[in-house]
Parts: sequence; structure tokens; C-alpha cells
Amino acid sequence: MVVATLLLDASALALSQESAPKIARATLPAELALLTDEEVARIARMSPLPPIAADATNRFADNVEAARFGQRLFFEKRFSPAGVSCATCHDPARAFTDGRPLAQGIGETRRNSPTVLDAGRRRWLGWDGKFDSLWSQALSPIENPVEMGSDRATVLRTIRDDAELRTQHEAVFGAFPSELSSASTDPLQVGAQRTEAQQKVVDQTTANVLKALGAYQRKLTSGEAPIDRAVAALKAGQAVAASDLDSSALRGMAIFVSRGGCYQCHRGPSFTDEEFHNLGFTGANGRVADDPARLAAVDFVKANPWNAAGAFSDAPSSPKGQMVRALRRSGELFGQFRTPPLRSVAQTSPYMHDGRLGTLADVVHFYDTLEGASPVGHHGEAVLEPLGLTEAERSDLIRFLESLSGKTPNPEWTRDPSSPDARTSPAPER
Amino acid sequence: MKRTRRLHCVVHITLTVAALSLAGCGDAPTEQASKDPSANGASAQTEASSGGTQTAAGQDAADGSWLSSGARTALSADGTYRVAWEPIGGVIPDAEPFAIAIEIERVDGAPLAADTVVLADAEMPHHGHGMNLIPEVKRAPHAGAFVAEGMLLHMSGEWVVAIDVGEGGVSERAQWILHVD
Ligand code: HEC
Ligand code: HEC
Repeated sequence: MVVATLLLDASALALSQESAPKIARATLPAELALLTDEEVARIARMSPLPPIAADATNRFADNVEAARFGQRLFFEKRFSPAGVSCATCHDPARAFTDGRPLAQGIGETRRNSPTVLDAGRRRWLGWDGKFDSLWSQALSPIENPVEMGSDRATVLRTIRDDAELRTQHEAVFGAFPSELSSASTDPLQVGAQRTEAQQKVVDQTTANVLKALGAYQRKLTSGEAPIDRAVAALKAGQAVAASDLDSSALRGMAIFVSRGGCYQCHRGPSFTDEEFHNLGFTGANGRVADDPARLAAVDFVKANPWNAAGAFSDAPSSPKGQMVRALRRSGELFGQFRTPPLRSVAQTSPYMHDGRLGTLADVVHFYDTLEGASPVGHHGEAVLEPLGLTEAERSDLIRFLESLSGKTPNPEWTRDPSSPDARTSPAPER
Repeated sequence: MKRTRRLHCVVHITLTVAALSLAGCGDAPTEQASKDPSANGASAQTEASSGGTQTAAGQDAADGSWLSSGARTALSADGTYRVAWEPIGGVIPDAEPFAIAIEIERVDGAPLAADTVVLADAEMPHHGHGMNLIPEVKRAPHAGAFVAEGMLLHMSGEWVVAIDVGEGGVSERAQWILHVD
């Protein structure tokens, strides 16, 4: 029977994975000696960071030409009447963030700009997980009046009318759709009346452009970090180099996996469970949270025609498509935000969905005291309790958080390809 | 009189985070074999304690079962059903979606009604929340067999896995306590 065969194959796979390297207790440094086996196993799971998994919903996800075109688009200012590009808020010089509490485009948004480094690893995109794929996320900043204030027709018109962009577009997706080119009245002009057929072509062509932006951002992965070298050393039974994790950082690591409770949510090599929690932050009224966050996002992503199960997805019945359909809507989602990944966290201040905490010291102070959180009601996570750390322990935890940042990606992928110095040397494949 | 016995047993299992496919039962479209983009790729050793109402003899799935001998088994609350399940792939992945294979039999030996409704769910009693997905339960080609896709235990701590079996408008629950590290 088919089922039985599948089960057998799968358990063989499970057995083979049990041999994943572990950390031997005998060679643990003194700072980690008091951890339980379970806690030591958590450390072993912090590294290595696996390669970014395939994205079946984007058939151009790993197409290098698409990624190069996407790179060009990421830095393109002409889509927006105010000259705002993706890179305005996701600046490569600031680990793809903007350093502001709240993102500033044409106007001020309600959220902090997260990094797009490693965004290809996320199950849900955005602080509230409003998007289920990297590519579909990109439409939102383009069309949001306070971000780029553009629209899909303007993006396509800019590409169509610029020889260079058009050539790049056509190299990946074929000839620019004739329906959007000719005609006495330009179907891509602002305010143009489009037939249903024309609108369909606009949307399909837009999906391709978004998928190129997705392909580009998949190239933006954080490289090996001190934590990776430290975990590798621990697995090999060797001493951890102080240049990677010094004694303070090791003590911070011990707090992170044990009584700090951080590992409950910030788990695995990306330090996130990819799901949602409510830390109990109070809203503008100073009492209860007022941002519906995940609750609104679940409704949005299920209804979004650009979702993984929708017409523009290249794999509507993929596990991701199934997951979107299976999302549970319930009141407890109110005020929940995605557990942010902590790779590169030292470079991405300020912190939290609204940038309310300026430094890692502020974040650790928050978890230490829960100041600024409403007393745990039925919406907050009952797991959070003030930690009551000593000053030394707080700086140990900060030191550990600082060890999670990796090398920046290949500079070929982090620069504006339309800038004069970039033009002379085309980006080689990474 | 129906009797349920409380029995605590501690089972050591290995949680392995694999790039997991939700493809359950062979009839999946091809894309289902593709990996979730956020697959983690690490592995975890943990301890799973299974409690709740259980039959002393029920630790091994019955003969002729499509489940392995390691399947977790419990009686439903009123003792009408013996319910067993195991993660497809043998391990519960860390913070990744997975599917479970379920086998249900009536303790009185009668066949399950054709329109039996089965629900699978899990919650964290100490956190006041459950899973973020609603698993989809389908019949599998074996007597009393079902597959629930879209289970996701995203946090460490104590989870209660519940399987509800409904026949003729009456539903009974079997539950297990799992510790996820
Ligand atoms: C005005 C500033 C601004 C601009 C311009 C902007 N973003 Fe963002 N970006 C944000 C903010 C703020 C968020 C978080 C949104 C939320 O959670 O609601 C975000 C979130 C994201 C995320 C999700 C990251 C994660 O970890 O979930 C990605 C990916 C992203 N942006 C890519 C882009 C791309 C591609 C563009 C250009 C098409 C772009 N952004 C333009 C501010 C901006
Ligand atoms: C209950 C789950 C949970 C636990 C436990 C937890 N976190 Fe978080 N963490 C979150 C969530 C959710 C956010 C984002 C909250 C928001 O934006 O409103 C967050 C945000 C952060 C941030 C800010 C990241 C950024 O990019 O803005 C840091 C740093 C952080 N946590 C570190 C820790 C440390 C250190 C601990 C342990 C002392 C810890 N967390 C415990 C869920 C958790």
C-alpha cells in the first residue's frame, strides 16, 4: 500500500538524521557546564544556517537573470513620484534597514522597517505576517500611499519606456506584452480605463516583476556569524575562540537557552519559530494593545488574490498554499507579532514592530522587567515573567545577541546596479 | 460502567527537524513534494510525556495496524474508541508543519460509521493558545485510518494533542500531553 511505503521511507530518513552532530557534555566550557542536556541540545540547533529553501510559488525564484533585474528594480527611484525606492527604507549600508523607529516614505508608516537580509527564509512576511511569500510582499510598499505611493501600471510603464529596464525584463520574461504597448490610448497611463483583458495582463506582468524582486531578495542572505563558528567548535569538542564568543557571550548564551526563556520563541538557526506572539506591549492609550496585528493579517492573507494559493502563485496547491487556507482565525491573534529572527540583530536597531526600543540594552531591560507591557491578560503570552537579571547577566545576554551577526552578503548583490561604478563591472554570479 | 485509568508514561523520542513535506498519502499533487521555504534543518532531542486517559495495554498499536508500534494510543473520554496516532515521517519537527497518521477503532469491535467526523487539534494549556493552523483531516485507505495535515507545534512547552471522534452527532475526545523542547 502506498501509505505504508511512504511511512517506511520517511522513518528511514528520520533515523539517518539522528546522527546530526551533537555537543558532548565532557568538553563543554565552564560557562555552559550547568545546562541540562535539553538546553545544550538547543545550542546545537542554533547552527548551521541551512540554505534558503526552494519557493515553489515563484518559478523565477532561483533565476539569476531575474535576480539581477530585481536588483535593478530594488534601487529604482522612478517608480515613486517622491523618488522612494525599496532601498530608501531597506538601505544596504544599514543592513537593509533605515535606522528609524517608524519607516518613512512619502509619509510615516505605522511600523519599523525590518531587514530584508534572510527574508527568503521567512514563512510569513512583515511584523504581522500579512504576506505568505517574499514576492507577493513587494506589491504592498509599491502601492502604499505613505511608502512609494506608486501603482502597478506606473511600474510597468516605467519598465516599458526605459530601454535598459525593458531589455532586462524581456531577457527573463520574453517580449513585453503587446496589449500594454501599442493602442491609441495608453493602457498604462495614469487613470487609464482598462478592459478586463488588459487588467489581467497588467496583473500577470506585475506578478513577474514582483517575482524578480523576490528572486533578488533571496540572494540577500547573512553569512557565517561568530555563533556558527562557536557551535561548530562545541560540536567538534574544541574550545570556543574568544574572538567568536568570549566568556561573557557564553554566559549570555546559557541564559538565552535556560532561564531567560528566549529559546521558547527565538528557536533554531534563525532564532525564530516563524510564528506569532503577544509580548503585551501597551498601545497609544498606554493600557492595552491597539494594533490588531496578526488577527487582521490572517484575514488579509487568506483573502489576498496574490497569496500562495491564488491565481498568480506558481504552485497554488503547494504546502504553502494549503497552509494559508488552513490558517486559524481567533481572538487570541489580536496584538500578536511574528517572533523576529535574531541573525543580524545588532545591526537592525531600533527594535520591535514600532521601533519603540532603541538598543539591545533596552530590549534586554524590557525582558528583565516587562516595563511597558500590560500585566499578562488573556492576550499576552503567559510565558513572560520579569527575569530579574543582575547587571552582569544583562550585559552577558547583550553580548550574546551581538554574536549573531554574520558577514554581509556578496557586495555584488548589495549595491545599486544603476550607479556609474556598478555599470562598468556586471555582477558575476554568486 | 466505563473505566478510564490514568497512567503516566514517559517516552523518549527524537524530534528531528527535517525539511518536511505536507504530502501525506500519495495522492498529493507534485508540488506538495517541495519543501517549505522556511524549513529549519536542525534536530532536537526531547522528552515526550504522554498522559491522559490510556489503556494499560494500549501502548502498541493493534495487529494489522497501518501505524508503527511506537504510535501513541489512548482511549477516548467515554471509552468508546481506541485512538492511535503518529507523525508521518516518525518524528515531530521543530516549529514546522507536519502531518499525522491516525487510526481509530471502536472498542466494541463494530466498524466505524462511514460519516465519522474526526478533528485533530493541539493547544498549550499554560499559554492559553493553540495551533495557528486548523489541520485538515482526510480518510486514508485503511479501515479506521485518517491523516491530519497541518499540525504545527510552534513553541516549546507542554502541548495537549486532542483527537475528536464524532459519530451520530456525539463526539468523544482522546488526548495526549506532549512536551516539546
Ligand atoms: C517607506 C519605507 C519602505 C519602503 C519604501 C519599502 N519597505 Fe519594505 N518594509 C517596510 C516596513 C515598515 C516593513 C514592515 C511592514 C509591516 O510589518 O507591516 C517592511 C517589510 C518588508 C519585508 C518583510 C521582511 C520580513 O522580515 O518580514 C520585505 C521583504 C520588504 N519590506 C521588501 C521591500 C521591497 C521589495 C520594497 C520595494 C518594492 C520595499 N520593501 C519598500 C518599509 C519599507
Ligand atoms: C513568547 C515568545 C518570546 C520570548 C519568550 C522572547 N521573545 Fe523576543 N520577541 C518576540 C516577539 C513576538 C518579538 C516582536 C514583538 C513586537 O515587535 O511587538 C520579539 C522581539 C525581540 C527582539 C527585537 C528584534 C527586532 O528585530 O526588533 C529581540 C532582540 C528579542 N526579542 C530578544 C529576546 C530575548 C533576549 C529573549 C529572552 C530574554 C526573548 N526575546 C524572549 C517573542 C519572544
